[in-house]
Amino acid sequence: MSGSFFGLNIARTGLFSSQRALQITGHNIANANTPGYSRQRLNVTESNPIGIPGGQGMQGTGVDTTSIQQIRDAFLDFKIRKEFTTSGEWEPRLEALQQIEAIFNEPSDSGIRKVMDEFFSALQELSEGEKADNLTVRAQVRQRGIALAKTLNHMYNQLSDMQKNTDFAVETTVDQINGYAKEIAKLNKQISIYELDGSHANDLRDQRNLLIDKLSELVDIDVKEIPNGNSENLGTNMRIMIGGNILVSNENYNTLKATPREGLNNYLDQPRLLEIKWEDGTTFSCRGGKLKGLLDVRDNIDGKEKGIPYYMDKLNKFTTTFILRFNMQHGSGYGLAGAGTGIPFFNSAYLMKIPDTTPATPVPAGYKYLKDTNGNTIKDADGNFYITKDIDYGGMQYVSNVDINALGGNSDADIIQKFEEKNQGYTLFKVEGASGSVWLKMKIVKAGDVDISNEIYNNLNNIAAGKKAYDSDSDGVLDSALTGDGSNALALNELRHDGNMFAWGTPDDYFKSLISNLGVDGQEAVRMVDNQAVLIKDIDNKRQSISGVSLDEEMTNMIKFQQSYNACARMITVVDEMLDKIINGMGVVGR
Amino acid sequence: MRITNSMMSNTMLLNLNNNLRRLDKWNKQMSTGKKFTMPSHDPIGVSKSLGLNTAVAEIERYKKNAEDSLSWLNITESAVEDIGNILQRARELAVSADGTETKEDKQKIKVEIDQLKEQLIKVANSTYSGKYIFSGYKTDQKLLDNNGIYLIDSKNDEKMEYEVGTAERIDVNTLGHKLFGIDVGSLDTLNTNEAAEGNKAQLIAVFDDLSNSLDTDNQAGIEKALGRIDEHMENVLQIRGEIGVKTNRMEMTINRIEKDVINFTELLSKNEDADMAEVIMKFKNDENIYRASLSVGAKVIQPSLVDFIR
Repeated sequence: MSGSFFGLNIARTGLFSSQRALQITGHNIANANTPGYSRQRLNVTESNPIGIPGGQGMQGTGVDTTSIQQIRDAFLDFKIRKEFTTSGEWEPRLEALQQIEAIFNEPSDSGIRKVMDEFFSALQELSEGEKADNLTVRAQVRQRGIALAKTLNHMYNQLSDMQKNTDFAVETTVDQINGYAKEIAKLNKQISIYELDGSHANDLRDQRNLLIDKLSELVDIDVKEIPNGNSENLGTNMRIMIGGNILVSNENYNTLKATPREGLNNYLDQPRLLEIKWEDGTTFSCRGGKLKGLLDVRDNIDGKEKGIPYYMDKLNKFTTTFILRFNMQHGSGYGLAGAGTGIPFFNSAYLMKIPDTTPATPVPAGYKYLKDTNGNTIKDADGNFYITKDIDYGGMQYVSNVDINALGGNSDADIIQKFEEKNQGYTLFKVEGASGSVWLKMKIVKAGDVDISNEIYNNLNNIAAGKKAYDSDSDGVLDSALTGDGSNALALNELRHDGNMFAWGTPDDYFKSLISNLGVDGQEAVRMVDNQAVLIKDIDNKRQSISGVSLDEEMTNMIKFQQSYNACARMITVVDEMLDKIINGMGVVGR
Repeated sequence: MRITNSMMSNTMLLNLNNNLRRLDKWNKQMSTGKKFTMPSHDPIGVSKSLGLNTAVAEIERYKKNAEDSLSWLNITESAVEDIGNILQRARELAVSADGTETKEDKQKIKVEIDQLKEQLIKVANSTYSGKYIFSGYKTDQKLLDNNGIYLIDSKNDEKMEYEVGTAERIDVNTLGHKLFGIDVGSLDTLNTNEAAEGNKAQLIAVFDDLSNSLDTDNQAGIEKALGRIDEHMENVLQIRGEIGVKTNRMEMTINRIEKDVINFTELLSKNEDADMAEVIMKFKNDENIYRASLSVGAKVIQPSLVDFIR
């Protein structure tokens, strides 16, 4: 037999649960635009019924609120984080490639192509015998040469600066990762304290999920949440790993440390680039995310993920071979007014070819004859000698044919590539000798260091336009080009059409290949970033579809809960009226 | 699928952004007039463009070279023409001294022959913008002295070559010894071998000999000179012919290069210039789409149940 006030109690549970449901609706609406927010729902159940004696069954006692649950799909979180990692990796790559495109500045009217065109055009003019001794034309050749050197310098320095800036971005990213790790650990602690009694720390979990999403953009992470013991009430242990090492384990976290590197990874690296390690000194490795993208951009010299060093290296190799070949040809000619032979045009004279018509000439100061491994002087098929000079960049060494065979290359390009793989900072160079071709190895000249030589800078007569010499001071030594001889300038011009100068062909072809490589890489990066954006959007939509707040839905719920509240209140009125009848309206018969 | 408000606004934002990006692309093409401005826009197009630009720059240089060679050839031709005229006049004079002339008349002819010889030496030292044109590479030195003696070595390999196409060259200068010959041994056989400093020019020697014969009334000498002058005239004509052929060739080359410039510029334009009509059409089209998406967006976002609950 239920008591008189039993109905009041049932209605009260209804009032309270409707009220709570309305509050949760309000919370959902209030957070409709909060990033990372997952909508919440009040879980309710019938409260324990009481048995009615006499086999009449159970009597319901109202409603109980059990928990406030957030609605989300953990698998979608996992999926979207994978995509965040990929897009995080490609975004810095895209940004870097676009910057490199701007540095190479092609197609344009001021890029390297234009500078080369002008340089060779000036040489063409010099080659016209009538103008070979014209100082204006010579000054123009010098000026265009300076422009070419400066353009190479400029490109190199900009790439260099870019590497430095990327290094700074690496440091910032490491700080960010550490910051997230710390915050996540803090949240983990709060969550586990809160959830000890089996409740759900919904809003804290939302915050944590958001942080993990952000972290997943920076680095590839594995996230695991393991229940503590068997009982649900003991809470969970959350663990984040990077490449098998623990970043966050519940309320503890490890940090990454960026310390300046001792040696250089690549010969053209800036000194003291940052290396990332775990705080305790363990090696750190990551396979994705913004950090991986930045490290590739900063460090990668070859392979699929070409970074800044790849382009610097290519620029250097172009510079080295081009100016060396140019110097060789230039040095075999004669300048005006007793200027003689063996003058480098650019400031990197590893090798000079001088004609055998001047064996009587002492080798110019600082030069020496190039000798093969047997100690014999190397001569080319026309009987020219090779002389070398050590300028600022160190000497050059002879590489025997045996070494070339040991490399096992099939074509020239193949040989060069195999050699470069094994000898960083050096490149290989072939000259036609009297007894077959001779391979020479040389240290790579940095494009940032190239300039025209002091000889050319100080004296226009030193530009060797001519091939034929005469004895200008009657001392029995041929020492000066004839005024109308532009044949060496013509030969210098021909270098432009030398398809064997590079594995990629002529100097023009080299830049064409480099630029189109850059373009293809850039295109891929654009495509990857776009595709990732679509993928992320797609998964995020799915996530939103489950966890997002729909205002229409909340409004409907609001009305639903409001009506339910009203109905419960009405129920109380009914019971009230019943009690009124009992208390005030009963036992007054005949009054 | 359950749709929520933020999904709708996110999707709309993404689409609006995509539309705007397309507008930006067309806008860039319109304002630069180019189909691409960065290698990643079209790697193949860009590398083609680089090659074509270089080709245009090169052929424009070749055109300049060809034009320069033409001026040089023209100057040379007029000098050689002068030589021809001098020889012609000398021949006429030699013919007129046919034996019926008196000694005094021959003396008068001799004076003119001497004048012609001097003229010949002047022509041998002709200049073009301050350069001696017949001196080979020694453009700063005179070919002959006043007596017709070579002041310099005149070598066969002192050819001034101008590049007028990839690996296409023309030698523009005529070497002095080819025109004036050297006097070693006989004057009767034409000798245009290389001259060394101190050699006497054969043509001048012929004139000297003629002058001498006229002076001494040596009829046999005058007769001989006639034959020698004929031989030299033949030689000069041949050289003049060669120059004429070269001039002709250069004129044709310039014509061809001019056509090349047009062709390459056209190719370049086809490769990299944006088709304005097409771009504007596409721009307008995308602009409409953008406007539509904006107005739909404005309608989609606003109403919700909130607006209808009293």
